[in-house]
Amino acid sequence: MKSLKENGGGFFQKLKGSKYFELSGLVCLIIVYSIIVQTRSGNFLTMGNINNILKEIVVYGILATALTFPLINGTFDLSIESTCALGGTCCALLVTDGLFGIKTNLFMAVVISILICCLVGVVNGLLVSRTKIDPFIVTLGTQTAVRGIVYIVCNNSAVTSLPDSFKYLSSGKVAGVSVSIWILLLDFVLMALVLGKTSYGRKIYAIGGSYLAAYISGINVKRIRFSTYVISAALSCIAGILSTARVGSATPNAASGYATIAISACAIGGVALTGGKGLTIGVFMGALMMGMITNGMNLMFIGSNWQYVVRGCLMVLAVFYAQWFSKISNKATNK
Amino acid sequence: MSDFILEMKHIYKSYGGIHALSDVGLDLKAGEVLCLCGENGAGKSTLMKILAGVETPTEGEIYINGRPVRITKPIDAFNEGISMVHQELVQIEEMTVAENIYVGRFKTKAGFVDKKALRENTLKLFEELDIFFEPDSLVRQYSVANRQLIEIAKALSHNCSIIIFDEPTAALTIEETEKLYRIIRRLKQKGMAVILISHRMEDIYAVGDRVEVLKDGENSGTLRVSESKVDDIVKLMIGRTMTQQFPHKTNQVGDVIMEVKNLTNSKISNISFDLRRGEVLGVAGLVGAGRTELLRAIFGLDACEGNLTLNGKRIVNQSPMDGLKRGFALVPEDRKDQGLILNQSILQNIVLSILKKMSAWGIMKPKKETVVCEEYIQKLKIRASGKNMIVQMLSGGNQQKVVLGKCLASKPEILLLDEPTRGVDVGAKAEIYKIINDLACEGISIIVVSSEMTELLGISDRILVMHEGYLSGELSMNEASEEAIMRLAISHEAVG
Repeated sequence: MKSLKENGGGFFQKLKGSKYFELSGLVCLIIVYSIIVQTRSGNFLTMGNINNILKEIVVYGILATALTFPLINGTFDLSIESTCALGGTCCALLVTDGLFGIKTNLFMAVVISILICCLVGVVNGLLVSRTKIDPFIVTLGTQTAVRGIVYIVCNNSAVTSLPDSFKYLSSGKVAGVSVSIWILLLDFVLMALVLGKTSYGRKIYAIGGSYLAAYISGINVKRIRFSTYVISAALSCIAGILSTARVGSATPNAASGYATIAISACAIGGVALTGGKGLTIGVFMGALMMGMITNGMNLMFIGSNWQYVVRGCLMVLAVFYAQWFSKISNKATNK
Repeated sequence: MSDFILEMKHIYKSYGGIHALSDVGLDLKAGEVLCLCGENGAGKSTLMKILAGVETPTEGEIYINGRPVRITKPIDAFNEGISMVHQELVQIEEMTVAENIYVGRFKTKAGFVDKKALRENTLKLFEELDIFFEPDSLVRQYSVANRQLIEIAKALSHNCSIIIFDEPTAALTIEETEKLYRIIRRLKQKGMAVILISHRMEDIYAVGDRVEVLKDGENSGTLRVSESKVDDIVKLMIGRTMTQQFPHKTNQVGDVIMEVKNLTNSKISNISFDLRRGEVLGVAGLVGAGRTELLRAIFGLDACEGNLTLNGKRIVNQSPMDGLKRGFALVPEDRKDQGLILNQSILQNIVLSILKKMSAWGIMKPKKETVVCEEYIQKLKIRASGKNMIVQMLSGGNQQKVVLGKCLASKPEILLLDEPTRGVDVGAKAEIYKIINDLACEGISIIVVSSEMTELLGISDRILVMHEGYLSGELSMNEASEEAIMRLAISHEAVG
């Protein structure tokens, strides 16, 4: 066959054929944006500011990873932001006034909050995998319901006067870098390993690519689908705890609207909303881009209203680029 | 002035440096049925997509009635009187028959769709074709065959003079195919020119006037149907004579490995048969006779009542996981939807059923995967640039081989094949038949469901015939013939 000649090209050919090629557009965007902000403000690319950006993206970066599992699996999770608030609130209550009379140390508080949030994941997972209700509707429902539970649990008021050990999660530094940034990086590395190197990751991609084909190939589609929601909830909880640590208090309306930011980060990073496609490094760059927009425009003294406009435009632009590069990539592999 | 209604000259089409078509020509007279043949990847579909405006040629000229035309969009093709009935039907399932036919061209009355005119026009079209469907019924309730007829009516509604059929009979039963032949002859009588893309010799001899053969993106030759033999056409298609499409059967049929007793669910009734080691058991019947459902029930995809005995042990497969664990594997009818993860690589598809074996503590072992994958690429002669090629880019035949590879990787004892050669070109078909024979020789028992009777007669050791969910008969190879199968397939006094 003519069209299937061995692909013997050089480095560029190889790059074009690789699955990372699609991200080139995003890389270009990040570079161009950095240069523009750097020339306008001068201190965008300093170590201190990069640290700021990373610190900025901790919460919605982790939320984006939480969302990536259901997304690649071909479903959706809108409840992450409420689960995030629930995790932060529960954890704060456990170390201060007590949650239903239980007071614990920080470590136990984290464990218990994650378990509580996993229950949300269990409800989502059961409803999505066992019924035919659209995941969008299911998680829209839990998003609303869980937000209500958060208000009930913290009795309509913010949880304050957190111990220093709690705040250390955000302000503390290991090797000159904040603990929260280490957690963020660890989260991404773990996700990269799980999605890229394990059979579990393969199954997630396969189900997202074709639910029926995966089922006929002997994959326990329901169990995997269920598990992605539990993972999603657990990661949301961690994001919530770090958010609380950063602000120094747990407010019941914390993380409102963060689901949208997480979706944007995933979409910019090349995760297909139809499932079966997406790379961890892409999600990371997507989250980074979101942080850079806010940070860079603050440095250039551009107000938050314009930041929304730019964020919206860039998201569409990034997805457009990704598709364009993917087309070139397909042609290259087709040679 | 030429007497050709359509001429395509020096058509080139390349995708990023690869020539899909080079210097291809085609001509067509009014009232002529031209069959376009060639192996998958020969460029037939590309050529027709160019004519229908779905693709634009890199170079080339198209003349309609001797007048040069530019076709860059589907709408241009409609305006030039060209309509195409696509292989994968593009219909809006939630709309009615009439709405589907006239979608985008509704006659309106004061801004609202004129339902009465819509209905009347649709009925008029059906009358012309001598078919009938209720215009106000939803499209999704009709079978593939009927939807195809609706699609033909839609093509006709564009007042076209050239109509292109892309493998129309691939999914049809014999009766439905006959009906389609009648309609094509009728279109021809009305002075329309028809281009028929088909792999099937039956189609060519039933309705064709002339055959144009493409090979590797070039014209291979043109023949008058009345003056040529099957071998002549096949020779042009593959560049050699294929004296024998089916391999010489060498498998040894052993002892009974599986007994099926009174298998029943909503689609199949009381099916009982047994299967022997190394046997190729054909299952024939009309579309809708429950053949696919029988395979699905055995595999564990659909719930059923009744007994399955495998190697003397009673078993119940409640899910594909159960089926695979017990040594069953299914090659489904619809490979794009059910067989493959289209956006993933050959390797990822082949190891899909054996992820557990390809990993340790949940971590994939790339070296082990590569070995298994290369083994099946070689064994099944999958033609691709490498194991990392995305399966979407492969031709139909190679895609089917990937599905087969995935099933074989799980080392099945019983292989269930549902229409294994649908939409696969002649060359790849012969290869698949050979693979089936080889597997039977290795002692694998195979159940093949197929709508092509010649295929079943060529590869089976025994044939079961189904009719409306019942087993209407069993034929040994001495008794089996197309007539015998057909008699059982349409019989009303089913056994059992």
